[in-house]
Amino acid sequence: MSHKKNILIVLIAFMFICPAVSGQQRDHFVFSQLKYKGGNWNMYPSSFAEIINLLMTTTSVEPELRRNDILLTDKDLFISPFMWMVGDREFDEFSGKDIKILRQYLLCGGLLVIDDAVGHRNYGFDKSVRKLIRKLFPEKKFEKITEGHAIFRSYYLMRGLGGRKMVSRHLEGIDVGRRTAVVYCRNNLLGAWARDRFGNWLYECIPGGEMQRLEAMKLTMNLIMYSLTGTYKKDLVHQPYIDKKLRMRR
Amino acid sequence: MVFQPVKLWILLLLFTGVIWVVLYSFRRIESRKKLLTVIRMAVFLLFLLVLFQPAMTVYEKPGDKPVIAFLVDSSMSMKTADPIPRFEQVKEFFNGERNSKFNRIMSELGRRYKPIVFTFAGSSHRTTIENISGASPEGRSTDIGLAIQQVEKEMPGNALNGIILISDGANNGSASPLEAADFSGVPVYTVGVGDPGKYIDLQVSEVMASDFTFKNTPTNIDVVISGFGFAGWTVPVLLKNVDGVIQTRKAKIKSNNEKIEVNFNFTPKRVGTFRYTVSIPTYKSEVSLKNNIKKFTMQVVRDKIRIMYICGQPSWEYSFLRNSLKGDPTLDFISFNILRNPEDVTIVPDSQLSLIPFPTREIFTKDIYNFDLLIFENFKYSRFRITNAYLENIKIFVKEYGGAFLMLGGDNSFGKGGYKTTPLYDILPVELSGGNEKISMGTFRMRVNRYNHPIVRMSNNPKENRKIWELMPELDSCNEMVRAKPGAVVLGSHPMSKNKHGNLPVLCVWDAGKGRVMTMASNTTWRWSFKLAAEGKGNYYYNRFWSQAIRWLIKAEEMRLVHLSADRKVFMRDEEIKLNVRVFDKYYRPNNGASVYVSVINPSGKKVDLGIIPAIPRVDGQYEAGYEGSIEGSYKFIAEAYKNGSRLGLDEINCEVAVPTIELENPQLNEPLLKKISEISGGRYFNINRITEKDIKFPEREKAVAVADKRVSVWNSVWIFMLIAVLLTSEWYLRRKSGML
Repeated sequence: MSHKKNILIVLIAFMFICPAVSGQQRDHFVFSQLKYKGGNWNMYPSSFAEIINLLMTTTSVEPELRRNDILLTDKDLFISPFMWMVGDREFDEFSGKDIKILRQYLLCGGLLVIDDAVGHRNYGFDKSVRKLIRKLFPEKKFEKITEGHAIFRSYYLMRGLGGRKMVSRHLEGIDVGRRTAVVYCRNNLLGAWARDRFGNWLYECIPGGEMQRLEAMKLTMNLIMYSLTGTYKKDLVHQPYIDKKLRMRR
Repeated sequence: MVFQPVKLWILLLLFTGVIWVVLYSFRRIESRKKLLTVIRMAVFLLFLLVLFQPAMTVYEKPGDKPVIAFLVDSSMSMKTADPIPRFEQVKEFFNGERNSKFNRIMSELGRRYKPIVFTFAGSSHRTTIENISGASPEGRSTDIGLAIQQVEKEMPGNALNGIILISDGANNGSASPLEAADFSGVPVYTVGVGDPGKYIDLQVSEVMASDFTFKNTPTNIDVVISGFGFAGWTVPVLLKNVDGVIQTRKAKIKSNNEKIEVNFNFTPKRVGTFRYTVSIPTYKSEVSLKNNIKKFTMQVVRDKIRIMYICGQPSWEYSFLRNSLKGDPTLDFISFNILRNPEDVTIVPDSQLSLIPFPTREIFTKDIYNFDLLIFENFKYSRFRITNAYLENIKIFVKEYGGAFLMLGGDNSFGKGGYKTTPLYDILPVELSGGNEKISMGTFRMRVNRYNHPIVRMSNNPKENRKIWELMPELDSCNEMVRAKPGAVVLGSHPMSKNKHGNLPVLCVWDAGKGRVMTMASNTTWRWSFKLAAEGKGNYYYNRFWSQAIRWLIKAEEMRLVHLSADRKVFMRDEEIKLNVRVFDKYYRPNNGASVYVSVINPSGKKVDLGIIPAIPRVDGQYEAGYEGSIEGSYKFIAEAYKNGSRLGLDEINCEVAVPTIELENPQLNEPLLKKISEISGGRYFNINRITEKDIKFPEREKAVAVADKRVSVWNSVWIFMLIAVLLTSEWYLRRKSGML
């Protein structure tokens, strides 16, 4: 664990040394977080370093060490096809221009992960999210993401969800063509990653405790992997191995 | 006389007009001029006669004897000796020795009927009994149905009392013999030639294979074997191509003429047109050895373009390219993405990871040969125990097997990936600086150097194409390679970053042996897709670029500027093979004024130069040639086009020249068919060896009417032309004598 702490310290140091993500990122993974009006868009600032730490130490992904906090109207929106949106309360309606840009972003390869920190259905953040989706894709609605979806096997073989608060047993999503462009989690994934300045977890994961936190971490990794590899793990070449592993776990 | 009805009315009108003119002219003119006018009018009328081409039909009055028609099979199968050559028996039938059985039959028939004789193979021809002796059975097909129809047409008006069909019944024509016999209205007596009991033959009766099949896809070939005189035998059946035996099967013959089905199943590994043979052993006692083998050609085409993508780490380049390629139904895409490096830690047991072992050995020793294109993106081979021997296989895959290879940039690619000291370096179109290779940092808009190349052609309009590239989103950083190797084409370069050789090469291509290689120094082309989306332009240009690159790399048909084709695949000996060459310019527009050279390699391996072939008049960009193959076998035609000193390209096709063998494929006496023909028409069947003079007796017919025997052209006579000449000469002489010239 001390090894991990060292990496974390180095990372935090880097975050202050490195310039903010700009148009230049090479082929690195860039974690964008959506800034929006009227709500609490930056709820867990410490979670990012945790995510990047786990990503770097457990996978071959090379991430940018700086979070890309972005408005939909920023010119750097399109430097990353991965965007996280978190909140705990109702937010202002997106303007027509914002809707158009976000729709464009999602239709052309972007992935938006929406993370509800409260989890009250049709209330507060959830209410605004559903309203936003209705404006974004009037012809579509959130569908449950099934257990066999590539998200649940893009890196870790997952059998359930995690999060700070176990509100829902499934993810919801909007498909565009052959891929899922919007993923909505009501269990507060980012909250499960948050630590205080002494390295302690900020929030307890209820009701599942640390196992639930681990599942939240795995799901976050899988979402990033899904953005970078798509349905790779659904390819036929993987099926015999994955099926075998799943059978072993039963 | 016979005229076309419309023409007859015109003739009458003209004739009346001429008479009126003559009579009107005669009222005032002197007698000499009257004579001249008469001569001119006569010439005019003769011209009219020629113009309207009158013909005369001569009718033959019915004689006292009823007419019977002999239909004699003169196809090649009648050469079969089982044991006596069949056509020799036919000759004896018509011109047998005095007092022989056949002579008695013909005398009796001649006494009772008026015989007329036709020989037939593909169609029928009138002949005489005497001519049969000198005839030879050379017909390349047997169409009994058509022969019966043609005889009936020639003998209308109830003139025919019956038909005697002398044949082995080895029918292979398109007209139905049973229908023709049924509709003929006269009894057809059939005389079978041959002895089924003494017919010994083993044959490949049928091969059912499709004209084309797909590479790497199992293909079925169904074969029917039959034998006469081989009951109880088991014979080997071989499927071969030019490389040797592909598969062997066994056929057990239980009884005579039993059809034994044999099935072959193999997987073609190469694209092209190939010649296959199905054969069984030959035995001395067989009546025909030519039907022991059947040849056929099959075109092996690629079903889908098979791509293997090996990616060193998850990236958006992989994600976007994967999504683009997966969306193309003509592509078969398999990928391996290294999600975790050996040095990475794990927080869960291996059973909770979706990772699979990277099948290095299988991929680099076996699987690559099943693919058309291999892609490396940011992949460091040394991390995965990939030896130089494996990389040598990639080189062989490209240079010798005609495969394609693409390397995309990244920290683990090119020199940084350690490829300079590997066999793979030989096939890369760029010079690498080695392990200390740098990455040129920063975003840049790739400068396109060869806008006409099909890979970078985003529009057929050159100006628009240039504009599209000028507005393409920027790439982000690239591997700093030294320069393009001699012979390589730099399609795109870095606009600012330079070394002592000039601007850094970004997009390079070249031909490596039989295959092609492309290098892209950056793995951020996904920005072309995603950033254009920001401008509302979607991912059209990104998809188009990669689609064109892949098709160029695998030498897809549509990327060629020269297309050679023939009207068919199989031709008869000495038949003209018509070749068509379509030539396009760099924008794929029809290319006129090109020099198109065609050559042919005949089955004995000799190259014949057909020289420059002519353009087809009034057809843009197309050229034609003809060639007659005089020996049996496979001919390879090669067309090469040049314009303004530069080579546009080359195309090749294979054509087959065959000796007609259909007659020799199933030459056994087909008694069941001959019996059915006679039954359905009210006649009888006899074998030629057992027929007697009393057997053939046709029923009496109603009174026959006159039969049109022939049609004679009245106008097409030398006398008419001589008369016109004499009249014109006389008219000229009279006028001269009268001082009227």
